Amino acid sequence: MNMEDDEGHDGFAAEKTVTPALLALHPFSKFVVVSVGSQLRVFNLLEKCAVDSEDINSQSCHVDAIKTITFSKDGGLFASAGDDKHVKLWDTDTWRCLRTVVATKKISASSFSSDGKWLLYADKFGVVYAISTEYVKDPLAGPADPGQPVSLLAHCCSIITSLKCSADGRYIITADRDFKIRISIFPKNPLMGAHEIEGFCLGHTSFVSCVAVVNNNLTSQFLVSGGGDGTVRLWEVETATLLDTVDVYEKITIANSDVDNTAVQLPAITCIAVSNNASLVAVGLESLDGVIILGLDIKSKRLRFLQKFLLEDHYCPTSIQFDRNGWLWLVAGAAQRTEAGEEKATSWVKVVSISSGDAILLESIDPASLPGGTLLLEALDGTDSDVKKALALADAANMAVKEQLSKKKYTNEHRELRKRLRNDKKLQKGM
Amino acid sequence: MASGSKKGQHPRKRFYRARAHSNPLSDSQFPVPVSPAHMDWSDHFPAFFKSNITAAPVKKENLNGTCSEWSKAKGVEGDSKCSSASIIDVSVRKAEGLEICKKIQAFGDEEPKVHFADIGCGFGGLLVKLSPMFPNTLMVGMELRDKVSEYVKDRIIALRKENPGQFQNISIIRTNAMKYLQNYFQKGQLQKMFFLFPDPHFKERNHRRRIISIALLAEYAHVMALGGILYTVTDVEELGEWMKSCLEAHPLFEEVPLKKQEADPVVGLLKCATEEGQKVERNGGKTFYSVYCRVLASSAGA
Repeated sequence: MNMEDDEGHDGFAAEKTVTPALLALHPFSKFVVVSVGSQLRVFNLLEKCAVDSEDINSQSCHVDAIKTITFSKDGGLFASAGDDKHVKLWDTDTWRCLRTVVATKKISASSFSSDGKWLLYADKFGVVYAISTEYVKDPLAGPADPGQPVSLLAHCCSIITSLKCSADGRYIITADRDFKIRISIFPKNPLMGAHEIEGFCLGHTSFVSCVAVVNNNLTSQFLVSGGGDGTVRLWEVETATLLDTVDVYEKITIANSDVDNTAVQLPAITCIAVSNNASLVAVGLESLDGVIILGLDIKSKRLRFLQKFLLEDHYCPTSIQFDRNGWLWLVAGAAQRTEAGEEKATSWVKVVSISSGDAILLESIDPASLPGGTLLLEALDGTDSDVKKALALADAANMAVKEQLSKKKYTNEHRELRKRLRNDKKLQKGM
Repeated sequence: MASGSKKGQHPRKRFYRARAHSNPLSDSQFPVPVSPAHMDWSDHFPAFFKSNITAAPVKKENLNGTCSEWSKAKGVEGDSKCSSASIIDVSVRKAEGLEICKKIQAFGDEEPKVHFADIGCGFGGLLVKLSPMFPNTLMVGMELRDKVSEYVKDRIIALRKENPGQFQNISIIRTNAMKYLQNYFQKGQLQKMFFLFPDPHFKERNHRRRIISIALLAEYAHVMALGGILYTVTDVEELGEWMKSCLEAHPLFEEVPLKKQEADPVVGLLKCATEEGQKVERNGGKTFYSVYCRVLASSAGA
C-alpha cells in the first residue's frame, strides 16, 4: 500500500462532481443568496430585483463549486468559498468583491466571528484559518502581514463539515467527519491561533453533517446538530453536554411502515435550521421529499419530534434557513460538472410558513406573496425549466456528500486481498 | 490473527512481526467508544473494578457497530456523567493564579480512572517499568498497529499470571490516538502523557502526521490535568527540535525546570525503558528530550 497514495484520501470516496445548492439569508432579510455550482445568485428583497454586480457575474467569480456561503451577523459582509480554493469576501452594499484569498486546499465551511472582524474558513483537511475583514491590502505591508490567513486550529485530518461562531463571540464550533463537534475558545488575538479547547460534543455515531447555533438571550449557549446517524441532537456549548437526542429516522419509519427498515446505512440529516425565536428546528433528511420540524424548548432543554411535511415529489432540500418573520426558506438543487467541463446547475427555491399552535401547520407561500414574486424565483432558480432533473440532481448531491463523509467499509476479504497485494509483502515472499 | 503465545505464556516477538509504520490518517477497523462515558475500563483493570460487578453487563454498540470484548458499556447514561465532569472542571478554572498541581478527583461514584497514557506504546516496555513504580495508578498504552498491540496484550496477561497481584494497573488499547483520544479520556483526566520515539515522518508533506504538532497539542492539553506532565524523547535531532518548538509555542505548556526533571524518577526511564530506547543506546545514539507541564494560559499574550 503506497502511503503517498493515501495522502489526503484516507477512506474518502472518489469525488463526485455533484454539489448541493446552498441558500443564505441576510440577517435583516435584505438579500437572499443561492449558490449553485460556481454561480452566485443574489436577490435584493427590499428593492425586489436581482443583484447584477460586475463581480458576481464576471468570469472570474468562482470557477468551481461553491461549498459554503455565509453572511456576517450585521449583514454588512458576505463570504463564499469552495472547490476553487478561493475565499471571497463581499461588501453587501455594493456586492463588490473586497478580497479574494487563495487557500491551499478546498474549503468546506466558513463563518464570520460574531463581531464581524474575522472570517473563519475550514478546509477539507480539517484546518481552520482566520483572515481579518478589516485589513485592506497595503502594497507597503511588511512580512508580518496581518492580512494573511492564520491557522487557528485543526481537527486531525478530518473534513470539517460545519463551522460556526457562537453569538456571544466566546466560542468556535467545528464539526467533522469523525463524529465530533469541537468547542474551542475564541482567542483574544486570533493571529496567535486558537489553542484552548472548551470541550467536545461526543454522541453522534456517524459523521456530523450540520450544526446550527441557537439564538437566545440567555448566558448559556446552545447548539443543534444533525448527523449521518439520522439523529438531531441538542447540546449545551460551555459544558459540551448532550441534552437531548431525536432519532428522526426512527420516528418517521414508525409512522410509515412501508419504508424498508433493513437499510444498512441510515439516511443522513442533510441540513438544519433554527427559528429566530428558538422554538423550532427544521431539518432535511436524505431522500425525504420534504422537511421535518422539531420543537425546541430551551428552558427544559428538550428537543422533540413534531412532524414530517412532504412538499413535492422528489423535492429534497439541500439547504434551509429561517428568516426573521418565521418563514422557512428552502432550496433543492445541485450542480454537476460534466466530463467536458461544462456545468449544469439547477435549483428550486420554496418558502413555507410554519405556525405552531395546538397543531403544527406548514403552508407554502405563494410566489406572488414573496418580495419580488416571480422575479425572485427566476433570479434564484435560473432559467432551466427541467424541474424534475433539478430535483433528481439534488438528491444525488446529498448522496454524494454523504458518500464523501462516510468511512469506506471494506469487507474482511477485501482487506486481506489488499494486504496480500502490499509491496512489502511481495518482498517478503522473495526472501 | 497469529497469536504466538499459548494463553498465559510470554509472547515471542517473532510471531508478531509487523511493519514499522502504520498510516495514522487511514480509517482502520477497530471499535471506538462513542464518548469517554461509554468506555468500560473494567475489562482492562479487573482488579480495580471488582466491587462494580453488577448484573449482566449490557452490550452496547461502539461507533463501528461492533462489540469489543475490551469495551462493553456499563449502561450508565452518558449525559449525567458528562455533566458531573464539567462541574469539577469549572472549579479548577476558577482557581487561576494559584500554584495548581491538583490531582483531578474521580467524578461521581469515585470510579478509578486512567491517569497515565503512553501514546504509541510499541511493545509496552515503558508500561511494564512504570507499573511497579505507581502501583495504584491506572495506565494505558495506545498503539495503532494490530499485531503489536496484540503482543502487548499477551505480554500483560502473562505478566499478571506470573506475578499475582502485580501489573494489574496497566493495559493496552489498539486505537488511533491522533483521531480518537477524546473518545477515551475526559477533560483534565490524564496526569502524564508519554510520546517515546515517535515516528519522525521525515518528508515535509508528511509532517502533518507527526504525533506532536501545535494543533494536536491543544487536544493533549485538553485531556491533561493542570500540572500534568508531557514527556517526549527521540533520537532524531530534527524531530526533537520540532517537538520542543511546538511545545514552546503552545500557550498551555511550559517547560519543566531542569532541577525538577532531574528529581522526576520517570525521566530516567525515558531513555532505556523501551525497546526502541535500548536499541538507540546500543547503537550509541543521542537522545533529545522535552518535558513540559500543562499550565493555564497566561493572561499576557494569547
